[in-house]
Amino acid sequence: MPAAASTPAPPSGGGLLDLSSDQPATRSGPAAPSTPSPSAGPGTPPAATSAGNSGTSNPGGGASSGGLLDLFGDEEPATAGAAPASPTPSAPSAPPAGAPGNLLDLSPEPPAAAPAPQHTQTQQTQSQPAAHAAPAGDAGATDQDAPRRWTDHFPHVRDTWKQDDLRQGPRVVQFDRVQSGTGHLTFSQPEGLGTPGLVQAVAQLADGRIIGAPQGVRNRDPLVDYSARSLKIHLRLLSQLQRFLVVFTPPQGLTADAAAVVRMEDDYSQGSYEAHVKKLGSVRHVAAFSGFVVDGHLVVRAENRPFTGGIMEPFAAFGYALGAPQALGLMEHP
Amino acid sequence: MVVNLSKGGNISLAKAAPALTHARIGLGWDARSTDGQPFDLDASAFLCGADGRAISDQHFVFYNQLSDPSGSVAHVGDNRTGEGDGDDEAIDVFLDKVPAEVETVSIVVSIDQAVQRRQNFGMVSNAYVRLFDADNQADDTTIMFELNEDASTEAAVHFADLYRRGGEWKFRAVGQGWADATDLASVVAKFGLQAG
Repeated sequence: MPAAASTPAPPSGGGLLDLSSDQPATRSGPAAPSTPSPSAGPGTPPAATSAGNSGTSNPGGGASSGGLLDLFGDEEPATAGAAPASPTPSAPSAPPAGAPGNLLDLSPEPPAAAPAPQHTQTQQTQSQPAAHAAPAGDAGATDQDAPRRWTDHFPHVRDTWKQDDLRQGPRVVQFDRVQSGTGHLTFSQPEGLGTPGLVQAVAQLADGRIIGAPQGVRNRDPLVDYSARSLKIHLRLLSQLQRFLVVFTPPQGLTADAAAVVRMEDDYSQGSYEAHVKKLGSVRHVAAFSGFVVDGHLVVRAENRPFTGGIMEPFAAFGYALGAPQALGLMEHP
Repeated sequence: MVVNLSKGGNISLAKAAPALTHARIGLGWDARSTDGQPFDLDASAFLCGADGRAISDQHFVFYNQLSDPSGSVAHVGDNRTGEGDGDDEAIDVFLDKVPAEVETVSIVVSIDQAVQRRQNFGMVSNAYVRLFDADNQADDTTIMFELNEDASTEAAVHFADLYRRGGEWKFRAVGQGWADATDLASVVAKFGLQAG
């Protein structure tokens, strides 16, 4: 049973969440099958939606420069014919995209009164570009007699992380079981800010416990491991993991429009994934990436959610009910 | 009865264990030397076609994918410390369920984080692979292969193959490591699977 600290409500089963437009995130009908619960243990993914991000244009952007995937480019959603960026030796192949319809609903029913940010959901307009790849499985067309794969519940989520889907501009990437259980995910400090910020994370384990990783403390075999400029999640230990949230705390003194890139790299598939965090001078923390383990598959979503309150605010918004931040090694400032 | 195989040797299961349908492949080892770093060895199985390559990502059975789509090959569990008596890890093969396109089930053991921890099979003693009938306790036939020093510098070793030949299943002791396979990820590539 999860610890009393945090038991997020299960995600609702009906409807799909459109992350593709600048409008508040929308919910479409018809009712979709219920989302699968993580096999890693009790508790379910929190309300990790992208709805209502005040300053963030929705992705759907195409390939980023240098062969890395720009999840939050200001470009129009990629269309057919847009060439994916070529990988360079230092910029390995990037993950695929789901359809920019992005019909991923990881959220519970919206709370009656939630702290910032609000997650509003309205009716979706059917405006998915035809150029985008067909979903892995369309709920409405599924053969009811055939065994359903869990990915049928997330038709926009591709089964593999492929470079040729780079142009599709995903916010969510799903790793297959081999990718999910092999190697490390590394989240690195942005470059070019002058003084370093902080990349911080909290992970909830399959047994419900919540762990942080105090700076400079290394366990013998840590699931989450910190170094000076990055943190790593050891995917060999995936079975112990239920979900995690990576937060970037920018250094103080930045201009209001300062921006940076928090990068996630997978050393098994050599893939790289970027979260473009913006307006750093006017925020205190930015939720950069959220991750969930669903039936042995790691699903990671770029969030780019700014917060102006304390370090506990982003974690609370994502359903982590934490105690004192110091106990988890979380810091208000770099 | 224990039948000991030498490296490269093979045996017909139809002859050694005619009633065998549920084969359990047990693997064991002891850490001979360690600087305190944990020693985590992982057993895996690749279901390969006639070309020697794994049929798909889903035909790679390991700690995060405990069976293939047909359920004919199943990883029994993950022992992260090697402690405990008997087999440290085991893989079950239900011979009558193995799909026709699968010609070989290759059993591999790799050391997790071998490079970071500076570990290799030279630090492992009493490494073995054995095959026995998991359903017939009255049959004590065990086919055993003990790994010798040949793979002492490697971090991943191809222990054994269960393969079809002439309409019957056979078991072969391989015991061959890869000099350029430092982790499970690189082993996966050896069997034709792509990382991304």
